[in-house]
Amino acid sequence: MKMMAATKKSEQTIQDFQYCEVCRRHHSQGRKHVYSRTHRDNINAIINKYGKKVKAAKPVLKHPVVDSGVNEENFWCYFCGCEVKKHDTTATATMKYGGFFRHLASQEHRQKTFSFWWDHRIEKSLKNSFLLTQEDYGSKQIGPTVEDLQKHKKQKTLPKGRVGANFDRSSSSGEEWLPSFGRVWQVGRRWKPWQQKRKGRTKASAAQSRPDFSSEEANGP
Amino acid sequence: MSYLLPRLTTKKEVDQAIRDTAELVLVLRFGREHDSVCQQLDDILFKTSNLLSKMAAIYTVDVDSIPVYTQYFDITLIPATIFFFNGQHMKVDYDRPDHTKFIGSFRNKQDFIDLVEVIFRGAMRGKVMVRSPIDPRNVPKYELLYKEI
Repeated sequence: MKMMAATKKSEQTIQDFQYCEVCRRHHSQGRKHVYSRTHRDNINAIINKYGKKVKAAKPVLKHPVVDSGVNEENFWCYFCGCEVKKHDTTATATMKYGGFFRHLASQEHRQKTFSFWWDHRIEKSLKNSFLLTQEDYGSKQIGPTVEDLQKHKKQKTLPKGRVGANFDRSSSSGEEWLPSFGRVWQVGRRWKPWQQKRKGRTKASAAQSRPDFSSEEANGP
Repeated sequence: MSYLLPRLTTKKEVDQAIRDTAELVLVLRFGREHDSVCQQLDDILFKTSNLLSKMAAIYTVDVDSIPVYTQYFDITLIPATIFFFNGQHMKVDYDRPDHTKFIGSFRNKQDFIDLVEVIFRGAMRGKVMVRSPIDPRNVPKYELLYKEI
Protein backbone atom coordinates (compact mmCIF):
# COMPACT_ATOMS: atom_id res chain seq x y z
CA MET A 1 0.00 0.00 0.00
CA LYS A 2 2.81 2.32 0.88
CA MET A 3 4.42 1.73 -2.52
CA MET A 4 1.19 2.45 -4.32
CA ALA A 5 0.84 5.70 -2.45
CA ALA A 6 4.33 6.73 -3.34
CA THR A 7 3.85 6.16 -7.06
CA LYS A 8 0.54 7.94 -7.03
CA LYS A 9 2.05 10.92 -5.34
CA SER A 10 4.60 11.60 -8.06
CA GLU A 11 2.26 10.24 -10.74
CA GLN A 12 5.15 8.61 -12.53
CA THR A 13 5.46 5.04 -13.61
CA ILE A 14 8.60 3.08 -14.39
CA GLN A 15 8.10 3.69 -18.09
CA ASP A 16 8.73 7.40 -17.61
CA PHE A 17 12.28 6.77 -16.50
CA GLN A 18 15.20 6.36 -18.88
CA TYR A 19 18.71 5.26 -18.10
CA CYS A 20 21.55 7.54 -19.15
CA GLU A 21 24.73 5.52 -19.64
CA VAL A 22 26.93 8.59 -19.55
CA CYS A 23 25.59 9.90 -16.22
CA ARG A 24 24.91 6.37 -14.98
CA ARG A 25 21.54 7.26 -13.52
CA HIS A 26 17.84 7.10 -14.29
CA HIS A 27 16.03 10.28 -15.11
CA SER A 28 12.57 11.33 -16.22
CA GLN A 29 13.53 14.37 -18.25
CA GLY A 30 13.30 12.72 -21.66
CA ARG A 31 15.33 14.32 -24.44
CA LYS A 32 15.92 17.39 -22.29
CA HIS A 33 18.42 15.44 -20.26
CA VAL A 34 21.16 15.57 -22.87
CA TYR A 35 21.26 19.35 -22.60
CA SER A 36 21.52 19.39 -18.81
CA ARG A 37 24.61 20.76 -17.10
CA THR A 38 25.67 17.45 -15.47
CA HIS A 39 25.28 15.52 -18.71
CA ARG A 40 27.29 18.07 -20.70
CA ASP A 41 30.03 17.99 -18.08
CA ASN A 42 30.16 14.21 -18.20
CA ILE A 43 30.35 14.19 -21.99
CA ASN A 44 33.14 16.76 -21.98
CA ALA A 45 35.05 14.71 -19.44
CA ILE A 46 34.76 11.60 -21.63
CA ILE A 47 35.81 13.44 -24.79
CA ASN A 48 38.80 14.95 -22.98
CA LYS A 49 39.92 11.69 -21.42
CA TYR A 50 39.47 9.60 -24.54
CA GLY A 51 40.93 12.34 -26.71
CA LYS A 52 44.12 12.32 -24.66
CA LYS A 53 44.47 8.57 -25.13
CA VAL A 54 43.98 8.87 -28.89
CA LYS A 55 46.45 11.73 -29.04
CA ALA A 56 49.04 9.69 -27.17
CA ALA A 57 48.55 6.75 -29.54
CA LYS A 58 48.50 8.61 -32.88
CA PRO A 59 52.30 9.00 -33.31
CA VAL A 60 52.65 5.21 -32.97
CA LEU A 61 50.44 4.74 -36.04
CA LYS A 62 53.08 6.48 -38.17
CA HIS A 63 56.02 4.76 -36.53
CA PRO A 64 54.95 1.34 -35.20
CA VAL A 65 56.67 0.20 -32.02
CA VAL A 66 57.30 -3.44 -31.18
CA ASP A 67 58.31 -4.26 -27.61
CA SER A 68 59.55 -7.54 -26.26
CA GLY A 69 57.43 -9.21 -23.64
CA VAL A 70 53.71 -9.68 -23.12
CA ASN A 71 51.35 -6.77 -22.54
CA GLU A 72 47.73 -7.69 -21.91
CA GLU A 73 46.47 -4.14 -21.21
CA ASN A 74 42.86 -3.32 -22.09
CA PHE A 75 41.11 -0.06 -22.74
CA TRP A 76 37.48 0.99 -22.42
CA CYS A 77 35.76 2.39 -25.48
CA TYR A 78 33.11 4.78 -24.15
CA PHE A 79 31.24 4.97 -27.44
CA CYS A 80 30.93 1.21 -27.95
CA GLY A 81 30.63 0.45 -24.24
CA CYS A 82 33.05 -2.43 -24.40
CA GLU A 83 36.53 -3.38 -23.32
CA VAL A 84 39.09 -3.96 -26.08
CA LYS A 85 42.68 -5.24 -26.10
CA LYS A 86 45.05 -2.29 -26.38
CA HIS A 87 48.08 -4.05 -27.91
CA ASP A 88 48.69 -6.92 -30.30
CA THR A 89 50.63 -9.42 -28.28
CA THR A 90 52.15 -12.82 -28.90
CA ALA A 91 54.15 -15.06 -26.59
CA THR A 92 57.33 -13.08 -27.21
CA ALA A 93 56.52 -9.64 -28.59
CA THR A 94 53.97 -6.84 -28.36
CA MET A 95 52.98 -4.44 -31.13
CA LYS A 96 51.97 -1.28 -29.30
CA TYR A 97 48.43 0.02 -29.79
CA GLY A 98 47.72 -2.70 -32.39
CA GLY A 99 44.32 -3.53 -30.92
CA PHE A 100 43.57 0.14 -30.24
CA PHE A 101 43.97 1.17 -33.89
CA ARG A 102 42.15 -1.88 -35.17
CA HIS A 103 39.20 -0.96 -32.99
CA LEU A 104 39.19 2.69 -34.10
CA ALA A 105 39.27 1.59 -37.74
CA SER A 106 36.52 -1.02 -37.34
CA GLN A 107 33.14 -0.54 -38.98
CA GLU A 108 31.36 -1.27 -35.71
CA HIS A 109 33.19 1.49 -33.86
CA ARG A 110 32.36 3.89 -36.67
CA GLN A 111 28.64 3.18 -36.44
CA LYS A 112 28.61 3.36 -32.64
CA THR A 113 30.49 6.65 -32.68
CA PHE A 114 28.07 8.17 -35.17
CA SER A 115 25.05 7.16 -33.06
CA PHE A 116 26.79 8.35 -29.87
CA TRP A 117 27.32 11.76 -31.43
CA TRP A 118 23.70 11.87 -32.59
CA ASP A 119 22.26 10.73 -29.26
CA HIS A 120 24.24 13.14 -27.14
CA ARG A 121 24.30 16.15 -29.46
CA ILE A 122 28.05 16.56 -29.51
CA GLU A 123 30.03 19.02 -31.60
CA LYS A 124 30.51 17.33 -34.99
CA SER A 125 34.04 18.58 -35.58
CA LEU A 126 35.31 16.50 -32.64
CA LYS A 127 34.17 13.24 -34.18
CA ASN A 128 36.93 12.65 -36.72
CA SER A 129 39.73 12.42 -34.17
CA PHE A 130 38.10 9.26 -32.77
CA LEU A 131 37.83 7.54 -36.13
CA LEU A 132 40.41 5.95 -38.39
CA THR A 133 39.71 5.20 -42.03
CA GLN A 134 40.72 1.79 -43.35
CA GLU A 135 43.26 3.48 -45.64
CA ASP A 136 44.93 5.25 -42.73
CA TYR A 137 45.04 2.04 -40.76
CA GLY A 138 46.35 -0.02 -43.65
CA SER A 139 48.89 2.33 -45.24
CA LYS A 140 50.45 3.71 -42.08
CA GLN A 141 51.38 0.27 -40.76
CA ILE A 142 54.96 0.16 -41.91
CA GLY A 143 56.74 -3.16 -41.94
CA PRO A 144 55.39 -6.69 -41.76
CA THR A 145 52.38 -7.73 -39.73
CA VAL A 146 52.88 -9.82 -36.63
CA GLU A 147 51.92 -13.02 -38.49
CA ASP A 148 54.34 -12.34 -41.35
CA LEU A 149 57.09 -11.64 -38.86
CA GLN A 150 56.52 -14.95 -37.07
CA LYS A 151 56.44 -16.80 -40.39
CA HIS A 152 59.64 -15.16 -41.49
CA LYS A 153 61.40 -16.01 -38.24
CA LYS A 154 60.33 -19.63 -38.51
CA GLN A 155 61.60 -19.97 -42.07
CA LYS A 156 64.90 -18.42 -41.17
CA THR A 157 65.71 -21.02 -38.55
CA LEU A 158 65.09 -24.01 -40.83
CA PRO A 159 68.27 -25.52 -42.23
CA LYS A 160 68.55 -25.47 -46.01
CA GLY A 161 69.79 -29.04 -46.33
CA ARG A 162 66.96 -30.67 -44.43
CA VAL A 163 65.17 -33.65 -45.89
CA GLY A 164 62.57 -32.70 -48.49
CA ALA A 165 63.45 -29.02 -48.37
CA ASN A 166 62.61 -28.65 -52.05
CA PHE A 167 59.57 -30.89 -51.95
CA ASP A 168 57.04 -29.49 -54.40
CA ARG A 169 53.64 -29.59 -52.75
CA SER A 170 51.91 -27.92 -55.66
CA SER A 171 52.66 -30.69 -58.15
CA SER A 172 49.70 -32.72 -59.23
CA SER A 173 48.56 -35.59 -57.07
CA GLY A 174 46.15 -37.92 -58.75
CA GLU A 175 45.35 -41.54 -58.10
CA GLU A 176 48.72 -42.40 -59.64
CA TRP A 177 50.82 -40.41 -57.19
CA LEU A 178 52.92 -42.38 -54.71
CA PRO A 179 55.38 -41.09 -52.15
CA SER A 180 59.05 -41.95 -52.12
CA PHE A 181 59.62 -45.22 -50.37
CA GLY A 182 62.89 -46.98 -49.73
CA ARG A 183 63.01 -50.67 -50.43
CA VAL A 184 62.68 -53.16 -47.66
CA TRP A 185 66.03 -54.62 -48.62
CA GLN A 186 69.08 -52.51 -48.23
CA VAL A 187 70.18 -52.88 -51.85
CA GLY A 188 68.79 -50.87 -54.72
CA ARG A 189 67.72 -47.32 -55.21
CA ARG A 190 64.91 -45.60 -53.45
CA TRP A 191 62.90 -44.88 -56.56
CA LYS A 192 62.90 -48.56 -57.67
CA PRO A 193 59.69 -49.61 -55.91
CA TRP A 194 57.93 -46.59 -57.32
CA GLN A 195 59.16 -47.39 -60.82
CA GLN A 196 58.08 -51.00 -60.51
CA LYS A 197 54.69 -49.92 -59.35
CA ARG A 198 54.37 -47.61 -62.31
CA LYS A 199 55.22 -50.36 -64.73
CA GLY A 200 52.36 -52.31 -63.21
CA ARG A 201 54.59 -55.13 -62.11
CA THR A 202 52.83 -56.16 -58.97
CA LYS A 203 55.40 -57.53 -56.67
CA ALA A 204 54.16 -60.78 -55.26
CA SER A 205 54.28 -60.35 -51.54
CA ALA A 206 57.99 -60.25 -51.31
CA ALA A 207 58.27 -60.79 -47.68
CA GLN A 208 56.65 -63.37 -45.59
CA SER A 209 57.22 -63.30 -41.97
CA ARG A 210 57.16 -65.12 -38.74
CA PRO A 211 57.03 -62.92 -35.73
CA ASP A 212 58.76 -63.98 -32.55
CA PHE A 213 56.27 -62.14 -30.44
CA SER A 214 53.53 -59.58 -30.45
CA SER A 215 52.63 -59.55 -34.11
CA GLU A 216 50.20 -61.27 -36.35
CA GLU A 217 50.22 -61.59 -40.08
CA ALA A 218 48.29 -59.00 -41.97
CA ASN A 219 48.41 -60.50 -45.43
CA GLY A 220 48.43 -64.23 -45.53
CA PRO A 221 50.55 -65.75 -48.26
CA MET B 1 42.67 -46.12 -28.14
CA SER B 2 42.93 -45.65 -31.91
CA TYR B 3 39.65 -43.71 -31.96
CA LEU B 4 41.50 -40.91 -30.18
CA LEU B 5 44.04 -40.57 -32.96
CA PRO B 6 43.15 -39.12 -36.38
CA ARG B 7 42.48 -41.90 -38.86
CA LEU B 8 43.04 -41.96 -42.60
CA THR B 9 40.65 -44.10 -44.59
CA THR B 10 41.31 -43.41 -48.27
CA LYS B 11 44.39 -43.24 -50.45
CA LYS B 12 43.72 -39.58 -51.08
CA GLU B 13 43.77 -38.80 -47.37
CA VAL B 14 47.08 -40.62 -46.93
CA ASP B 15 48.51 -38.79 -49.97
CA GLN B 16 47.42 -35.50 -48.50
CA ALA B 17 48.90 -36.27 -45.09
CA ILE B 18 52.23 -37.20 -46.68
CA ARG B 19 52.30 -34.17 -48.97
CA ASP B 20 50.93 -31.51 -46.65
CA THR B 21 52.75 -32.33 -43.42
CA ALA B 22 55.56 -29.76 -43.44
CA GLU B 23 58.63 -29.71 -41.19
CA LEU B 24 57.14 -32.44 -39.01
CA VAL B 25 57.78 -36.14 -38.76
CA LEU B 26 54.73 -37.89 -40.17
CA VAL B 27 53.97 -41.10 -38.29
CA LEU B 28 51.69 -43.57 -40.08
CA ARG B 29 50.55 -46.53 -38.02
CA PHE B 30 49.26 -49.38 -40.20
CA GLY B 31 47.25 -51.91 -38.24
CA ARG B 32 43.90 -53.16 -37.14
CA GLU B 33 41.82 -51.55 -34.45
CA HIS B 34 40.98 -54.76 -32.61
CA ASP B 35 44.46 -56.21 -32.59
CA SER B 36 45.81 -56.25 -29.04
CA VAL B 37 49.34 -55.18 -29.99
CA CYS B 38 47.91 -52.39 -32.11
CA GLN B 39 45.94 -51.23 -29.11
CA GLN B 40 49.11 -51.15 -27.00
CA LEU B 41 50.88 -49.16 -29.66
CA ASP B 42 47.96 -46.77 -30.14
CA ASP B 43 47.93 -46.16 -26.40
CA ILE B 44 51.60 -45.12 -26.53
CA LEU B 45 51.06 -43.02 -29.67
CA PHE B 46 48.07 -41.23 -28.21
CA LYS B 47 49.72 -40.49 -24.88
CA THR B 48 52.79 -39.04 -26.57
CA SER B 49 50.99 -37.24 -29.42
CA ASN B 50 50.56 -34.08 -27.37
CA LEU B 51 54.14 -34.04 -26.12
CA LEU B 52 55.40 -34.52 -29.67
CA SER B 53 53.03 -32.07 -31.31
CA LYS B 54 55.88 -29.77 -32.38
CA MET B 55 57.87 -32.64 -33.85
CA ALA B 56 55.41 -35.16 -35.20
CA ALA B 57 51.95 -35.64 -36.69
CA ILE B 58 50.51 -39.05 -35.91
CA TYR B 59 47.85 -40.85 -37.96
CA THR B 60 46.44 -44.35 -37.94
CA VAL B 61 45.61 -46.32 -41.08
CA ASP B 62 43.68 -49.55 -41.32
CA VAL B 63 45.64 -52.11 -43.35
CA ASP B 64 42.50 -53.47 -45.00
CA SER B 65 41.11 -50.13 -46.14
CA ILE B 66 43.92 -49.06 -48.50
CA PRO B 67 45.35 -52.13 -50.27
CA VAL B 68 47.40 -49.93 -52.63
CA TYR B 69 49.53 -48.66 -49.80
CA THR B 70 49.58 -51.90 -47.87
CA GLN B 71 51.18 -53.47 -50.92
CA TYR B 72 53.39 -50.54 -51.83
CA PHE B 73 54.81 -50.32 -48.32
CA ASP B 74 55.19 -54.12 -48.15
CA ILE B 75 53.21 -54.44 -44.98
CA THR B 76 53.14 -58.08 -43.96
CA LEU B 77 53.20 -57.66 -40.20
CA ILE B 78 51.03 -55.42 -38.09
CA PRO B 79 51.29 -53.02 -36.46
CA ALA B 80 53.79 -51.38 -38.78
CA THR B 81 54.86 -47.79 -38.19
CA ILE B 82 56.27 -45.77 -41.09
CA PHE B 83 57.92 -42.36 -40.88
CA PHE B 84 57.96 -39.54 -43.42
CA PHE B 85 59.48 -36.08 -43.42
CA ASN B 86 58.43 -33.45 -45.97
CA GLY B 87 57.07 -36.13 -48.26
CA GLN B 88 60.26 -38.18 -48.05
CA HIS B 89 60.27 -41.61 -46.50
CA MET B 90 62.67 -41.96 -43.55
CA LYS B 91 64.58 -45.18 -43.04
CA VAL B 92 65.64 -46.24 -39.57
CA ASP B 93 68.18 -48.89 -38.69
CA TYR B 94 66.60 -50.87 -35.85
CA ASP B 95 69.07 -53.80 -36.05
CA ARG B 96 66.25 -55.71 -37.72
CA PRO B 97 65.96 -56.86 -41.35
CA ASP B 98 63.46 -54.18 -42.34
CA HIS B 99 64.70 -50.61 -42.20
CA THR B 100 61.62 -49.08 -43.71
CA LYS B 101 59.20 -49.56 -40.86
CA PHE B 102 58.96 -50.35 -37.19
CA ILE B 103 57.15 -53.61 -36.54
CA GLY B 104 55.21 -54.19 -33.33
CA SER B 105 54.68 -51.99 -30.34
CA PHE B 106 57.18 -49.88 -28.46
CA ARG B 107 58.15 -51.03 -24.99
CA ASN B 108 57.39 -47.65 -23.45
CA LYS B 109 56.56 -44.05 -24.31
CA GLN B 110 60.13 -42.83 -23.94
CA ASP B 111 61.33 -45.22 -26.65
CA PHE B 112 58.90 -43.72 -29.13
CA ILE B 113 59.71 -40.14 -28.12
CA ASP B 114 63.44 -40.84 -28.52
CA LEU B 115 62.90 -42.39 -31.93
CA VAL B 116 60.83 -39.45 -33.23
CA GLU B 117 63.39 -37.02 -31.89
CA VAL B 118 66.27 -38.84 -33.59
CA ILE B 119 64.34 -38.94 -36.89
CA PHE B 120 63.46 -35.25 -36.59
CA ARG B 121 67.03 -34.20 -35.85
CA GLY B 122 68.39 -36.47 -38.58
CA ALA B 123 65.93 -35.10 -41.13
CA MET B 124 66.82 -31.54 -40.19
CA ARG B 125 70.44 -32.40 -40.93
CA GLY B 126 69.48 -33.90 -44.27
CA LYS B 127 69.75 -37.57 -43.41
CA VAL B 128 67.26 -39.95 -44.99
CA MET B 129 68.38 -42.83 -42.79
CA VAL B 130 69.06 -42.71 -39.07
CA ARG B 131 70.18 -45.16 -36.42
CA SER B 132 67.49 -46.14 -33.94
CA PRO B 133 68.19 -44.97 -30.37
CA ILE B 134 66.03 -47.75 -28.92
CA ASP B 135 67.77 -50.54 -27.01
CA PRO B 136 67.67 -53.53 -29.44
CA ARG B 137 66.32 -55.68 -26.61
CA ASN B 138 63.17 -53.53 -26.65
CA VAL B 139 62.60 -53.95 -30.39
CA PRO B 140 60.37 -56.90 -31.29
CA LYS B 141 62.14 -59.64 -33.20
CA TYR B 142 60.80 -60.95 -36.48
CA GLU B 143 62.12 -62.61 -39.58
CA LEU B 144 61.49 -61.85 -43.17
CA LEU B 145 61.40 -64.86 -45.44
CA TYR B 146 62.54 -63.96 -48.90
CA LYS B 147 60.61 -65.17 -51.85
CA GLU B 148 61.50 -64.81 -55.51
CA ILE B 149 65.03 -63.58 -55.16
